[in-house]
Amino acid sequence: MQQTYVQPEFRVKIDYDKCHKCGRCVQQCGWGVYDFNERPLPHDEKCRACHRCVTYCPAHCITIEKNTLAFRDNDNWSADARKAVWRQADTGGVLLTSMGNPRPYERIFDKLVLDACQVTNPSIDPLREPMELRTFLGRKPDSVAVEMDGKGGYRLAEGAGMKNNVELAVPLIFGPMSYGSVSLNVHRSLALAAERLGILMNTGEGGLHEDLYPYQDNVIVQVASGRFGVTPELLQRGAAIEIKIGQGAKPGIGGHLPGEKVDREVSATRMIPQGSDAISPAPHHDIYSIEDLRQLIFALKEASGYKTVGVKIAAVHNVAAIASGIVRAGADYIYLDGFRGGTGAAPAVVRDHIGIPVEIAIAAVDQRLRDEGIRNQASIIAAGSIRSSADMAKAIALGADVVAIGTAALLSLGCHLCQSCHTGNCSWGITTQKPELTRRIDPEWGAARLTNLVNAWSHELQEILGALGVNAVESLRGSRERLRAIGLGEQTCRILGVKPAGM
Amino acid sequence: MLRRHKLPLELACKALAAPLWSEIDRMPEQEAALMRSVRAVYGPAMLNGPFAIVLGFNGGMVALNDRIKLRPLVAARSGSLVMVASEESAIRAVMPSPEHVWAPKAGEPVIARVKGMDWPIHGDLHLGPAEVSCAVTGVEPACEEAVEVAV
Ligand code: SF4
Ligand code: SF4
Ligand code: SF4
Repeated sequence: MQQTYVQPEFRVKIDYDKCHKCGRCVQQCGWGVYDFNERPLPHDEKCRACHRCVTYCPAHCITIEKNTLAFRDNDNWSADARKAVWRQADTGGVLLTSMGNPRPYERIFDKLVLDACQVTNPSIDPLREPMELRTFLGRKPDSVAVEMDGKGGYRLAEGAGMKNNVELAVPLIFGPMSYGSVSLNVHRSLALAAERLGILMNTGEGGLHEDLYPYQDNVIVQVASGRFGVTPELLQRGAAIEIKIGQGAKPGIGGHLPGEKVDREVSATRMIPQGSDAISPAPHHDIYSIEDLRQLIFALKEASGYKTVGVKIAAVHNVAAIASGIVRAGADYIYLDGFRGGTGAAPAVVRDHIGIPVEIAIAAVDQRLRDEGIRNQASIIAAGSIRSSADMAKAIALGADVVAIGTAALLSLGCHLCQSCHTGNCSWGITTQKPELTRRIDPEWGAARLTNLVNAWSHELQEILGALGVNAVESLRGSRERLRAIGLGEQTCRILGVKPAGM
Repeated sequence: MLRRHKLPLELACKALAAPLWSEIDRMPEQEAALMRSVRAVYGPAMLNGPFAIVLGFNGGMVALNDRIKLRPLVAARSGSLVMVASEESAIRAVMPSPEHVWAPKAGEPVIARVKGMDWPIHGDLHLGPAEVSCAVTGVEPACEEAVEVAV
């Protein structure tokens, strides 16, 4: 084979003076970087900078460096642009990648700041006062009809009140990541953590493995275009059902799970032959209009005994109008996935150039639904790179009810964002089905780390609410007056409904 | 809430100064279901921060404290006379020995109604003296019942 022009991205450096020659790095690396001949010998070109070997080397003698190879300066033809052309000239194929859009588009969350109380309205100390994060996911009635209860008080009128909402202890859930793209132990960790935290995990499009049945009350089951693993039983099991129309990392295209990842268990859960590629079509072939979507929503409600049914879409240009149609079609929540959302595999060109930021989508959708007087009919879940409790608070202030995290959850399990999930070789045992790798995640350990992360963010959200002088998260929702922009254009501020700092 | 959604005054007050979830969880099921719905649906109406507000209307008066009682509120009653103030001493300056004095709990509205005049009141406001009596809700158990006032 002809020599590729693409030079290794990283240099694996070993300090052989310190090295124990124990060979652990050989065993830890999922991508087979190391040969061993009396001492470890790295093949730089295979390294993904996932830091698994670095973390587990007992002598701390491995460093991964950027290959600083100089390219002739050219701001237009960046080194990455040149490498992409060489790679495509090598293979003739679509360049695949994974995880979220890494490009330096403007990060709106980082240009928004939150308010705090000073003097005129006191801030509240969350350690002394109650600070409530409980949130309900689903459709709320237009009003609460009551009647006298005959004892001097009131009760809900017959058939009135909030129905089929899912109670969340905190306004955060785990985003959809399918069994197949991630390992069963990751699913187990997520389910266990969701149960302990009083929140939800989401099966993604790959169905629900029977090991997760005990956690079904904390699981959103997904119905995607491939309909993998969708049975009446699955619909009965979930706490809520989600129709996946699109994904922020790859709007407008379907999913592709390579056959290598489809082992016996994945094949049984997805109900497809072992070793076959699992390809979900770009559209749902029974949804070509809002009316079609309405039929599917109500078919799922009928089949599940009227559970909460949500619709997940990628944030795209006309997201507000689309969301309005989805709510009118009967969805109980809309899941907005911004263009920085993660993925287990996507063409780089799609991931990096299609879709809009979730911050804009939340504000546009919230405003549209308010203007149309239907905001109460559906909750908004926002996702697509929620990196911290600050992002969570800002998303809620822009109008989201709940945020969903995927990448952050995987980071807590060890992911180092090496963007190589599509290879199925994840050294951290996350996005792989190889038994020697998947057993690196113990569900109890994973659940403890996920629980820690969510608890930490919850405490931080409580601190933020306290500083804002409010003691329930519903008072932050859609409260854009509590946000200010620093360095965002006038037009963007107007769309976000946020004033510039100083006003 | 009162006019468009036909919410009773007591529940509208509960929406403004909502009980804590931990309190709702301990309520009897019927009441808990009602309060869960009121909070979930009228959550955006919830008022934060410290306040003690008094609202007079044609059929009576409402006094409401914030949900974690950051501001003081004291109520007192003697016969058909109901008073609210931020301190008991202020009440005693006007009404030296009230029959009942109590500190309403956080978010617990004190509603004093002129008997026979329901909320909202749009009709005839000229009641004869014999028709006037007073019912006070949201008080300590000692005077929870409607009080008939002899004029
Ligand atoms: S893990 Fe570290 S100490 Fe062991 S062989 Fe590899 S480089 Fe040497
Ligand atoms: S791919 Fe990861 S484990 Fe393998 S050498 Fe590179 S950093 Fe180490
Ligand atoms: S899940 Fe694994 S393969 Fe994917 S980015 Fe994280 S560490 Fe890399």
